[in-house]
Formats: sequence, C-alpha cells, structure tokens
Amino acid sequence: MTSAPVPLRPEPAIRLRGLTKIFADRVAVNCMNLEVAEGELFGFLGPNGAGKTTTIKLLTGLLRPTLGSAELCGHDVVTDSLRARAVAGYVPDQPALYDKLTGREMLGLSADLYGVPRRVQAARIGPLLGALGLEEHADRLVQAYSRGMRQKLALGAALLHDPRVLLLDEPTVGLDPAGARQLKDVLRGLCADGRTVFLSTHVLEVAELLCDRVGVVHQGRLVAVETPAELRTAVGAGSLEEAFLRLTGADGDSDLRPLLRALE
Amino acid sequence: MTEAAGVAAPATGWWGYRPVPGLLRSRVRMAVNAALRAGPEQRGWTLILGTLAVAWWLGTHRIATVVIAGGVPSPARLEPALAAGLGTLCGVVAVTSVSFAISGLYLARDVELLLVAPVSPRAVLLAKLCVQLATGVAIAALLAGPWLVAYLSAQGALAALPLVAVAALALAALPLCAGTAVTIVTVRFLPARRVRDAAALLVTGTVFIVTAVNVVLRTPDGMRSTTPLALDAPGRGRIADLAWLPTGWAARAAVAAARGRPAVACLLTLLLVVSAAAALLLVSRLGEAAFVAGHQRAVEAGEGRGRRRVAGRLRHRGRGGPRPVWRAIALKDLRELRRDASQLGQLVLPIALFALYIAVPGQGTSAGIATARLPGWFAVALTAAFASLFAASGVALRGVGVEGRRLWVLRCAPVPPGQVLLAKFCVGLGVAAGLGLGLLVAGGLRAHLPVSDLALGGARLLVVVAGLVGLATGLGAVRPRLDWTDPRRSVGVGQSLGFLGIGSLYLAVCFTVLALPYAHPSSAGAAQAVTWGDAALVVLAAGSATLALRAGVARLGAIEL
Repeated sequence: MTSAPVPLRPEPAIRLRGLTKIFADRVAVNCMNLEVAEGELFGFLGPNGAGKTTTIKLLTGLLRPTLGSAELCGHDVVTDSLRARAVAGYVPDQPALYDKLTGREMLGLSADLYGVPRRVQAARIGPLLGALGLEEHADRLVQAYSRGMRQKLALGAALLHDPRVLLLDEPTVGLDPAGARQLKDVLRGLCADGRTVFLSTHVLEVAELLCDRVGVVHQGRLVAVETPAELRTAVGAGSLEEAFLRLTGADGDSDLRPLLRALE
Repeated sequence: MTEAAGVAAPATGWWGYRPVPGLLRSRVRMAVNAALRAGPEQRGWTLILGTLAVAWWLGTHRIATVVIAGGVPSPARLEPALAAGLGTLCGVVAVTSVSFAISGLYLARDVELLLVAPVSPRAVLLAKLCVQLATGVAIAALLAGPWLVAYLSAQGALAALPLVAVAALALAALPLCAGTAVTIVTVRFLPARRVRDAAALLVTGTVFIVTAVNVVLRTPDGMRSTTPLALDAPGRGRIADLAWLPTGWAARAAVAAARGRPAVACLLTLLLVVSAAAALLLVSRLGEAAFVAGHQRAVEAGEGRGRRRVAGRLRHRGRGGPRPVWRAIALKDLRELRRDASQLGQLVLPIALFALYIAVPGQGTSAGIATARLPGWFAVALTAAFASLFAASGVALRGVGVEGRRLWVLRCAPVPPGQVLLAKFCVGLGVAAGLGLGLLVAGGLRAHLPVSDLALGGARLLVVVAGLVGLATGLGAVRPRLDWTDPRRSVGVGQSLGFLGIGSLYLAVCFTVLALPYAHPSSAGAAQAVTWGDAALVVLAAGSATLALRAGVARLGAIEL
C-alpha cells in the first residue's frame, strides 16, 4: 500500500518573521509574525499610529526593518529587494504622483519601471484607463486630477504589471461610493484570480465584507489574526467594530471621559 | 447656531494682528527643530553649514577690509554708489518676492490649516511677510554684511552698525510689500502656478535684456560707454540717490551714521521704519480679501479647474520589448522640465548670460586668459564649461531632489538605485554638455577657429562636463531635499552654493591640467605632453564622477521614506 503524497505547503505570498521597526524614540512595529496565503484578501486594522502604514512601508522596501524579516512570494524585501518589489504593487494612502505627466504617461512610466513590454503596455493601458473611469482625462496633466482620480490612477499604476501581491494603504479614502464599489469588485476579482491583497483600512465595513481574514494591530503588535466571524466569536462581540474596539482598548465610555473633562 | 464654547470669535480690526507673534514664534521653533532636533545627522549638517557660513563671512570680511583700505571714496561718490547697491537690493527683493509670495502664500501646506483656523487672514499675511523679510535679510547679511562691517570699521563707526542694519531691513520691506501686493492681485485673477511660471519667465527675460543692453553698449575694448545709461550702474546710482526715494534715504542714513552725524541718520532711519511698517500693515489689511480669494482659486485650480490637455505621445505602436528603465526615467524628467516654465527659466538664464558673454566683442573668445601659448579653443571652452556648471547645478544636482515626495514611485519599483542615477546623469549630461558644446561651437565660429581645434576642444569639454555632471548627480543624491512645494527649491541654497564651489574647483583643476602641457611643454615633445594631460583629465573626470555617483547610489538605496 502506498501512502498518498503529502501535498506541499504552498509558499505564503506574504511572510513576516519577528518584523520590528524602531524609530529614534519609539517602537512602531513590534516583533510581528504573520503569513498571508496566495489568493487571500487580508485586512489590516488598527487605530491611528498603530503601525499599519509602517508595516506596509516595510513590505514595500520604503523602510528598512530594524529586526526580523519580511518576504513577498519567498523574496526577502531587504536581501532580495528587486525581486520582491517586482512581484508587488503598492498604492499609498496619499499618492504623490508626477504632476507634469498626463495620466497615460504616468501609467506608461510605471509600466516601464516594472519592465512591462511596450506591446503589453499598449494592450493594457487603454482598457485599464477605461475600467478606472479615467479615459476622458487620460491626456490631461495629473496636476488637474482630483484626489479620487489620483487614487484611481495610482491603483492603475500598481495593477499594470499584474502583481502577485497588492499592498494597499487606506485604498477607499478619497473614492466616491461608485469608485469604492468598483475597487471592491476589482479586489475580489484579483483574489479569485490567485492574487493576494493586503490592505489597511479604517472602514470596518469594508474589512467585514471583503476580507478573508483580518489582523488587528495595536501599538505595533499584532493582537489578533482571524476571519471576521471568528474574531467576533472569540472576543464575544456582536460586530467587528465592537471586537476591534475591545481589542484596541478603545471601547466603552472610559476613553471619552478625559476628552469630555478636557472640553469642560 | 451657537459659537463653540470657550473659543473667542476671530478678532477684527487691529486686534486681528494679535496672533502674529504666536505665528512667528512657531516659525522660529520649526526652524530650530529642523536644524537641531531632527536627529544627529541633521545636527551634523547644521554644524557643517554653520561653519562654512562663518568661514565665508570671515573670508569676505578680510577681502573687503583689504579692498576698502585701498581708498574710501568721497561722500559725493559714496552716496550714489551706496544708493545703487541698495537699489539693486530693492530690485532683487521685489523680483524674488513674487516667487516667495507664490510659494509661501498659496503653495505652502500650512496655509490651508491657518486659513481654516479662527485667525484673521491679515495676521497670516503679515506673519508670512515677516518671515520672508527675515529670510531675505539673513541672505543679505551673509552676502553684503562683511562689506558693510568692513566699511564701517574703516570709518571708525562700527557702533552705527545696528542703525544701518535697521535702515537696510526697513528698506527691504518696501519692495517686498510691493512685490507681494502685485502677486496677490494677480493671483486673484490667474492661477498661482501660472503666475509663478510667468514671473520666472519675466525675471529671466528682464535680467537677460538688462545684461544684454549693458554689455552690448560697451565699447569694443570692453570699457563702459562714456554715455550714461539708464541701466548702467553709475546712472542707476544717480536715480536711486534721489532725495525723495527710500534708497536715497537709506544711502544718506548709512553715510551720515558712518561720518558721525547720528541725528540725521536716526531721522532718516525712523522715516524708513515708519514707511516699512505702514507698507506691511497696508498690504496685509488691504490685501487680505484678495489673498483669501486667490487661495480659494488656487485650491480650485488644483482640483480640476484650468485643466490642460497634452497631446498624448504615448500612443503605443504595438511592438517592442520593455523600454530600458533609465530611459523611461530620463524621458519622464525631460517631460517635466519641458512643461515647467519656472524651472526652464531658472535653467536657461545663466546659460543665456554666458552666451551673451561669448558673443560680445572683446569678451570670452579672445580676451582674458587666451595667451599666445594656449590654443584658441581654450578660453571658449573654459567659458562654456562654466556655463555647463550652472546647467549641471540646475538639472543634475537636483535630479533626485526633484522627485520629492514622488520618490516612492521609483523606490517601490524593481529599479536599482544605479539605474535611477544613470537616468539622472544622462539627462544632466544631455543638457549640460549640449549647452556647453553649443556655446563652444558658437564662440569658436565667432573666433574663426579651425574645425580641428573645435573638435579637439569639444572632446575635452565633453570629458570635463561628464565628470562635472557625475559630481552633481552624486552629490545631489547624497542629500536630496524631498519636502519641497516648489520644484525650484528641491535643492537647498547651501547645497547649491556648495556645489558651485566644488564644481568651480574641479573646473579649475581640469583646465590647469589641460593648460600645463602647453605652458610648460616637456623635453619629450609637446604632443606627448598633451597626451599625458588628456590622460590625466580623463582619470580626474572619471574618478570624481565615480566617487560621487557611488556615494549617491549608496545613499539613494538607504533613504527611508
């Protein structure tokens, strides 16, 4: 009798091992361990200053970890940074773009930076602009774009090279309801296609509806990683919002009292 | 609707100016924090720049003392000369105030915060004017201060320094107010960015025309024409010294203070101070409505009004592999440069002045250092190399800095830092070498140099400029300024002056290496000496560029955003 072959555990798309970032006087990310599987849509939740943006910047290589390591599709973001960056797409919360380029030129630049062949660019840029609702504005300078349009353009630039991992920092900020809906559909489609999405958000409704799993980060530490339903059950909360507030110690009236006293 | 509890309603009338001291205090705190509290590296830079500034000041003071000891002009000649200097100061302040006003009042990120707070816009306006005045005076103190101190010392009237400084400060406030007022009124009707571009082009054109008129009207032997010119310094001095002009008051106050007539000096200084205070209050009170309206217009323009459609050249032809990354970045840089009139104006002006210098009879090509021993191309190449120095400062030095907060686009992409710097180097080399070689050819043709000489000079100039651009690109990457709101300020003044100093030294060494074989040909033969000189030049250029670029690559890879 031959035993069935043991299936190889697939390489996680994102792996953090003891990831730590210390700035001059504070620990922004404190020994974070996490694995996000391929095709997973992972939500990163936390109050302001918890370390969400720092973690994403560590994953993109914009910051260097003080201790520990981070990998994207098996590539270390420090020692194998070019390969790690090649498999990722990143959209910051307030994307600063080249104001003196047109939307089309901005996408072309991004494609060139990621080594997308020109024939592929030709096939992708037009439809992508159309899908993002930017076709009409494609030949206008980015300096004339609204915040939402910039956000969409940055998303387009991040998607153009067909990344295996998409890192999004507060992606719904600045988008109108239609844009936010469109974004959700795009993200679901990407995950169905085997891509991994790692997004930080304050909008718990987005996390609850969209994410396969969520991680709650508080004061630089990852305090919980579950599916939204499991998280609610584990904390004994009725909603994800309540669970989040309990985990981050911001629930109840106790936090409001000093504020109210200060205003008196 | 009820007012927020405990919050005072915005003050009106003169009380509207009450927040000004608080705004200025926070500004000073920010400057101190930026210089001293932003980490040990920043403290180190503050120390280095402070030491350099002190060294510059003391060195210039020493030179000024020697020059002034050579002979102090009589009061009859001194007053017009001083008035001319102060007139130039006023012109510079008036012109730069447009750029300052656009950056400080409309593009700065703190304005929105201040305008949504219950702070009277006139207080914001006055505080901004005071900050601009202080900045201008600090620069003037660095450049003109040593001369003033040396002059007053020679007159035995150093005690009059505070009085003269106050007079100069008050005088500078007048053109600052005038320039700011014009800007506020213009931005009321035109978008701020367009006014900035138009002002840059206006400044470029004005400086070029003034210089051209002055240079062209010289006699062929390089001396000034005997006919007084409105734009020439002596003529300008006469106008600026008129008793009813503030420049005349300031000049008379300075001379009176130096010659021991304190009453006259105090009276004239008081007149200037009262005028300056009146101008500051007048502009801030009358200009506040237009300032707020202009700011609203600037915000609207940033959010979609005044859109500009650009013919899309990125229509893909549907074939071809990936474009080399350095080419994509270089193309992007050239597009940005071409579409930003203010940057373009800043780049073109020094080159145009050098072109003028080469084109005028008795200048550049034949005068000065071209001697019987040195070849004909030498002097033209030297002038062209200095023009390239300014081009390198304008493009290559700010290559990384001009990315600003957009640097994340390059840092997140799988692009090695070396490729980024290669792109910056290529753009800088294209602009600096192109302009330098253009000037060399123009000057060479004007001096009827043989084509072989021109080709030889051109090849050597190319090597020199390549080293210079490498130096600029590397140094620009070592300490980029990424938090600018105006791309022209993507390099700090200190860094810019530092590079001009290092670049001048580099050019001096390069041209000395080139000149030595001609000045002292070895016994082995002139041709062999020239070959050795060329080899040394290549080593020097390649070595300087490689060292700077390696430092730049290391720094660029380590920048945290």
